[in-house]
Amino acid sequence: MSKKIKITVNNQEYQVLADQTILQALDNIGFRLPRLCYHPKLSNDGACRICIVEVEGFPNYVTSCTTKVSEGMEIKTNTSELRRARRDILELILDSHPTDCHTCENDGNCELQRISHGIGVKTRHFEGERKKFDLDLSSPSIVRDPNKCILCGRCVRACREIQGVNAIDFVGRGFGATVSTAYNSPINESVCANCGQCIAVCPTAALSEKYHTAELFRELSNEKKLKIVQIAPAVRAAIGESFGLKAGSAMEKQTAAALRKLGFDRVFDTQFSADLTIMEEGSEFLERVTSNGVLPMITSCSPGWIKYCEQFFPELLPNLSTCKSPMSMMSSLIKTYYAKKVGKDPKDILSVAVMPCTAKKYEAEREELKIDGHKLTDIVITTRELGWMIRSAGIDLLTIKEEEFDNFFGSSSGAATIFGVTGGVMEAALRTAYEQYLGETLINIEFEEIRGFKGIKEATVKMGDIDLRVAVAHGLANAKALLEIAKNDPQRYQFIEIMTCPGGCVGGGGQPYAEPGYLSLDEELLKKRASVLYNLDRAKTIRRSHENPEIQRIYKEFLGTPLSQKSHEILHTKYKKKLPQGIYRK
Amino acid sequence: MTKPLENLKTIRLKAIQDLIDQGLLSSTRIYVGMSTCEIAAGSREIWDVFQKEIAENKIEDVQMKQKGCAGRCNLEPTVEVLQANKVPFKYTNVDRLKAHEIIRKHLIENDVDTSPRIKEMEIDPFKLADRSKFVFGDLDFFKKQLRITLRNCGIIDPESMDDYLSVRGYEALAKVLSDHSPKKVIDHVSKSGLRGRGGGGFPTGLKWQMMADQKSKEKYVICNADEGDPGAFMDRSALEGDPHIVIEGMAIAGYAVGADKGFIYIRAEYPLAIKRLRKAIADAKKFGFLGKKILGTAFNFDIEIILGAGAFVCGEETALIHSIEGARGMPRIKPPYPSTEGLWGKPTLINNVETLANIPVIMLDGYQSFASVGTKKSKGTKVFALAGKVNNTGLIEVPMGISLREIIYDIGGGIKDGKKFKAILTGGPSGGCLPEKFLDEMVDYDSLKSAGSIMGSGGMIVLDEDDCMIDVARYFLDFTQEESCGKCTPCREGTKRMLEILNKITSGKGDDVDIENLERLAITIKKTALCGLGQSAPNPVLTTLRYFKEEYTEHVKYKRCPAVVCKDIISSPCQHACPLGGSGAPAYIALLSQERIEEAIKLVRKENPLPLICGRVCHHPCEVKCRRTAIDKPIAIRSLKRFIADYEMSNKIEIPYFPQNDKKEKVAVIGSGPAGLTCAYYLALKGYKVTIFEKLPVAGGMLYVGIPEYRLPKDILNHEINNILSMGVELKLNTEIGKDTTISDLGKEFDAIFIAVGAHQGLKLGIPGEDCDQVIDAVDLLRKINLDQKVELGQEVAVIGGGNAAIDAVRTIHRMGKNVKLLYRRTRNEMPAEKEEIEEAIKEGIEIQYLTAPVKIGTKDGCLEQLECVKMELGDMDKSGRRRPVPLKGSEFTIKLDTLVAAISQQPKIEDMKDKELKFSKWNTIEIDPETLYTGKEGVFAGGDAVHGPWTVTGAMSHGKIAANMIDKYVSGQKLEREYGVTRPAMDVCVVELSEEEIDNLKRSELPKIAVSKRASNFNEVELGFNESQAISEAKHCLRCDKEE
Amino acid sequence: MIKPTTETKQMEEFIDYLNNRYDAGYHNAALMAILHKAQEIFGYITREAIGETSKHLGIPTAHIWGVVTFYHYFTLTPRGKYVISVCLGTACYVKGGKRILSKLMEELKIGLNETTDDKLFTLEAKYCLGCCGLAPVMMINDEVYEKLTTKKVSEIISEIRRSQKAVQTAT
Repeated sequence: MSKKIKITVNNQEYQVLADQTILQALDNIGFRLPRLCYHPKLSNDGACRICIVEVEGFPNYVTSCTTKVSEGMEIKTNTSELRRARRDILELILDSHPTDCHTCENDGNCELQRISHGIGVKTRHFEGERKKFDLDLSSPSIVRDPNKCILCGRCVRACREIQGVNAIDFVGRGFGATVSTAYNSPINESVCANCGQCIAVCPTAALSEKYHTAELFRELSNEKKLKIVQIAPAVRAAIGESFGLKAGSAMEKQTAAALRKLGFDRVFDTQFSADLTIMEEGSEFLERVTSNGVLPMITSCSPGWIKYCEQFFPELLPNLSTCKSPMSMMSSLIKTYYAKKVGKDPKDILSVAVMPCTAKKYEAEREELKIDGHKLTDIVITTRELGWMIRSAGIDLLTIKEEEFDNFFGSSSGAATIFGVTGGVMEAALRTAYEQYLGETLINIEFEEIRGFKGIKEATVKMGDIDLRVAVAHGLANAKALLEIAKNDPQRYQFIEIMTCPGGCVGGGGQPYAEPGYLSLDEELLKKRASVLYNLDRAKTIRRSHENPEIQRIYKEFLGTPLSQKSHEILHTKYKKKLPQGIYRK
Repeated sequence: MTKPLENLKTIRLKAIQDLIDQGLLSSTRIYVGMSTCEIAAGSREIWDVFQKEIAENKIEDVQMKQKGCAGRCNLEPTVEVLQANKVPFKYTNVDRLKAHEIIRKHLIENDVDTSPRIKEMEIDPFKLADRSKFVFGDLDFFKKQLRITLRNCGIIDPESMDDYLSVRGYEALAKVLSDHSPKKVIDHVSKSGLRGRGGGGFPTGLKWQMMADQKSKEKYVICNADEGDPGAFMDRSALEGDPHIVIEGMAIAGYAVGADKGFIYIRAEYPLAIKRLRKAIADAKKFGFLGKKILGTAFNFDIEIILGAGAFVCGEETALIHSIEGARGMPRIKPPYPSTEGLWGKPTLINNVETLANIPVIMLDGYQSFASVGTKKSKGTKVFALAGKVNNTGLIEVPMGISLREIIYDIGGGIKDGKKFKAILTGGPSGGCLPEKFLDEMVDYDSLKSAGSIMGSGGMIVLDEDDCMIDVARYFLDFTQEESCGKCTPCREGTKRMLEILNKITSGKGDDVDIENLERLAITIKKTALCGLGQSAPNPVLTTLRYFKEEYTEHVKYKRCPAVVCKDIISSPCQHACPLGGSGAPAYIALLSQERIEEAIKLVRKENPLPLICGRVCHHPCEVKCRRTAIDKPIAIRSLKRFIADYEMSNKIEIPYFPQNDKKEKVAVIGSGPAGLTCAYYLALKGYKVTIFEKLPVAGGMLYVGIPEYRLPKDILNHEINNILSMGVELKLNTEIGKDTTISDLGKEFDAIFIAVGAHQGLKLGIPGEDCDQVIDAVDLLRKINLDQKVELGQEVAVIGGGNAAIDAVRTIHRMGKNVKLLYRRTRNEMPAEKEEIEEAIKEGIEIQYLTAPVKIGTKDGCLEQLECVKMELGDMDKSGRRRPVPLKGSEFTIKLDTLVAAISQQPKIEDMKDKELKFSKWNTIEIDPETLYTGKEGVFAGGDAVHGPWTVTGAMSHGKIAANMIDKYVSGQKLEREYGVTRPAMDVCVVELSEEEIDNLKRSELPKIAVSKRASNFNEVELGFNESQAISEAKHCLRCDKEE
Repeated sequence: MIKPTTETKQMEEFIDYLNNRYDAGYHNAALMAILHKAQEIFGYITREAIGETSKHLGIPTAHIWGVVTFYHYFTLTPRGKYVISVCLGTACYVKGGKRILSKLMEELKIGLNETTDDKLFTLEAKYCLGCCGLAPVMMINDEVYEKLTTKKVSEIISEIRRSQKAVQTAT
């Protein structure tokens, strides 16, 4: 327990913990100063100057986010001079910011908008030249609009500190400074992993996902097509937040119902293909272990990680599991097996995926995943986009009558549910691999060592005669650290799970913006979303992938066995080294 | 003696022995200034001349050496010749020819005078330690300087270790290493009172102590040589002139704080300094002053040079650290300070070049001696780059506590071209502009700060009346805006907005709200920006707002730039400087240059009703501000106007004018001088019936009776007046207001009245004895002569004064065959009379006694016999910005005289009008609302000398023009207010490119005048005016600033 | 053997410098020095130079790009060894500044803000160089050339070309 000290805020005394910043101390005693560049999970820059306070003894105002409290400190947060200075700074930001709030993607979710309202810039004093930049629409996942950028630098820090990708940095200087890629290339030609964490931390709409809602609405009114949608596990754990629910509300069946109301003919669950992934990946792993294959094997379901691996760790591509991601497996089956089953030309099937992820939009475009030159997933939308579509269609998610997923690809095990949280894939795989390897039932199926939000988690699982050494990383910066360890000590691990986003898919770059008061990357928020998935797992009778009867049926009817030639054709793939090569600080 | 000192001694001896062995100790040494500034002045060429001629003439035993900059920029290139057993010589402004001469004199013919002055100095310039007296001893520029950090600059060869060793180089390091503990070093630095010279003024000893306290194995010392202020070049000169001293200072710092690695962060734009530093570091390593086991001790220290890349903000220490680390040079929040978390997170000491250069001196001469210089809280000296409008620009080092006045006047030699001091700017873009009232402030950290400026790193720019303070503020904002790193909002966005507002103001588009917003923004940025650059960026704006608010008002309200600088307001300087507010000068000059003379006449007439007169006697403020002055001479605008007007007259060209519809209202104008005539002209144009009342039997007022015939012939004047009368203006001569009629009577007959009487009353000298008949008044005298009345003058005449009336009087009296001299209490530079007039007077043989003031008039039998005078000297500046004349005690003398003419000033004689409703000032002028010229008495306006006191022709005319407008508004019942707009060209005249042939043939036209010998005893016009080809040629010299974007 | 082009020769020189001067992974203090070197070798900071530096120091390209664009001393477009700035202020214009510019374009066979193929000259125009008295003027690097005529311009350019050839043959 840290020491307590006494400070004075606006002439009232408070006891606060020592060794924290003024901003943190004020947050804890019921003040909430406006802030923009500050993010609790990122380093502090003190750049926006919005959170200034007056501290006795300092000639100038200090930024509360960077100044530590000290014994007897006298702080003023609300003098008229201070309010004026804060207002002026905010106006300076607004003077260089578009005034198109009503047509902005972020209307209602914009931190700048909320802060502006609080501070109150009623008249403009200093308006002048505005910045003019072109939009970067190159990426299927991310749209950059530097005109809306307020240069808080959160995206730069998230990309560097959380993801270790360093795709973007500050470029130029002074009034012309901007956030951009190397050589100001289109972001699609950069090392960007499309994870969308920059979007999650951006206080404005300078960074947002490429919206595919208009296209989807258009397709949904296409009478000719069979419209199929799948939703990822993490979507149901967060979509409620888009409708004002507290984080941690499970909305599985409501979402299924809403999707039907939107006009989908079939509502499938990506968790089905997650079970399928476990079957394939578990088998692949056992094969590698038993036949001296390339180890450690690394999971391949997180599309941001795949691109990162192609660019930053091409030497580890042979270690990647050849399995397609659950989304792509599902889409493959829809366009092959299911199409045949319902007697439809694959061209007349619209395959849509709702994902917590912006990188999935990129995955959908990948050449490697196409079958006979056709895209498998036609449209990917994020949880955020789905939330908007539901509202836009006038559907009330909160009072809707719950509905089940459709047959065939609608049922799943608890193992598939926890795919959405860091360590979940590994845990699911272990549940199945253990039993398949030893042929006996695993009693304690909850692997606590690989749960939780530690950056890198390691565990050793005794599986009969072998000690299975596994590791789990989430967030690419952690992944990088883990891979460095693995590279230096090739025998250390046999199986590694990597998730691009902090917390896994629940913290995906396409998840709803955190409710006011929370910020993305907040562990409390991630925990609440994760708990949804763990609870769903626990509530299920079938908690192991291989026990899913629909899985058993598809092997019987279509695939034969895991790793069969059929499944190789449809469910597996290979990735290649990609340029530009990623470089990171050693 | 302890070990390091012994080692140093051995090194020194060996170095000298090496020189002897290599035959490099010549008996003749030639030092050539080879700093960046010297090279720019041409010293490299001089160096080559010496080398070549020495080789060609096979001269032996000569050693060529380079030296750094001694600071005296306008004397460069400099060369010194030192020969064994001979008097040393130094040469300034050396060119090819001079170099050749030096070689012939010293090396070939040995024809050297012995200068007694240098002998008296009893020094041996061969001894480097003595050289400073020789180099600096005889120039005023150096008298108030005290050179500590620059003591070797301009003295030693910066690329020679031997030279540095011979001025006790590395002795401080050796001394420190032999018996000083690090604690003792820090203690001495603390006690010396040295404060950081980079600008902030943080106590150096304290900074070192904080570093020493850090328990880190790795520590770094950084020398901040990222000098980037516009106009500052202290670090460059110091490093170019004496690089070793900084290295020695860094090594001592490293020893004191426990660091073994140093970095010098220097601008890439300083290639010569970098080259010399590289050599110095290599030499220091070779000689064992850097590297492992320095001077045989356990102390290791190494230095690496890091080049900056054009970012001013990298002068900020955290930004500098980021730059060394290979990152964008963006500052970060402090704390943690670099002394706890610096380069790569390790404790880092950052000192600026000048701070470090002080260290060896403190160690060598003792902290007591250092602390004895300066003020209570600021010890030692400060180096400044003195620039701007002073006569002596250059690099100076002065003791703390010296006044700004001493720097500007004693060291800088005063303001250039006798102009008026306006402000001094210290601290570059982070500093402030201080006005005259701060000139006696002490130069130290605290007093400059309390005045609103900062000491800064040492840029010091002197501004004069030709500098616009808003433009200066805008210039610096432009700089800081350009150099803002872009990290924090207030600096990135705020400086841009401030610049935009300043641009708005300087382009005449600003309003009062802009000034408010500017100030508000400045305060917000100052209080909230992240780093020092941002926090200080508003300083130039804040200080100009504080001390020069009226200039902002001028720009915003009156759309005038008093210094005639702001392009968008003034269009062209000549036009903006004209009191008439729209002379059209650049346009009619352009028309003339294109031989479109009739168009030029039309334009001249449109803007000026009296061009024949103005073309002869205007005081031409246009020419004073002409851009061409910076090149050679101003365009002879007045004479060009005269040519155009004369052309019109002699060719009888009729310029039709189009008066507006006749109006029934009548206006009375009292006085037929320039104000009255102008007012009558413009009112007539508007269709009013105007009657001019003139007390004298002739028309023209002061133009007739105040200006001698040789400057303004009466027929010319009459021609112009007739032009105006021909527009239907009525003239009533011999009508005196207060006697023949009254203002109130006129009020009954006329709808409005404009009082424009001249200042016909001379002022008294105010000395005993002036009431005798032989003491007369210049205006009186000139009036009588102009009216052909009898005047009685003795043979010996003196005129007292320095204005135009004095010159007119003295030249007139001279023409009457009298012995006349002019007495003036200041010097020629301060004389208010027009320069050409003074020049002509002198040419005509008139004696002027400067610095002479009358004290008493001696009479005999009630008649003037002699004038008792006293000699004056110039003291401090008075309110007008001129130096005040002070009597020299005991210098009294007398002059025998028959007549004394007082020409000190004039007043109007308003009281004669006997009107109780008019209000008068203590100078006997009518009080009016300056905006509208309204007197407060119903329907009565006043202008010209009557409200201003003695004034210029165009000044009076400007009132006439305003009065006409105001009267029109008054009569037609409109609100009395003036509209102000920016000055715009009167007409768009295209720019014609000159052919190469034309340029070759273009010669400056000299204004023809009658010969001095032909001027005696007649009043013929002196100036003859240009002929057509001369005028066109002169017009082609115009730079066409009106078309400059 | 095929003679290497200027570009590959420059690249070889740069990589040699990187290998000899700085070990891979050497602390980032090297970055500024390397960028200065790159500009010295290539005449500007090339994309390839950034790529090589990035690999060598293990610094992300976006970071280096951020650094390069921060410092005004670094240029991203090829510039000649001699940068010619012709003054087009009114005073120079009146005295034939435009004529001087046209002559230079003709002599160098390039337009405004372009660089000759041999990377010897870059041609720029400036508003006012503050030397109206010497009009028309141009600056070549830091040196002012005053009272120009078209003839003088030709002479100056051929003199530079001559001296440049002399240097090349000497090396």
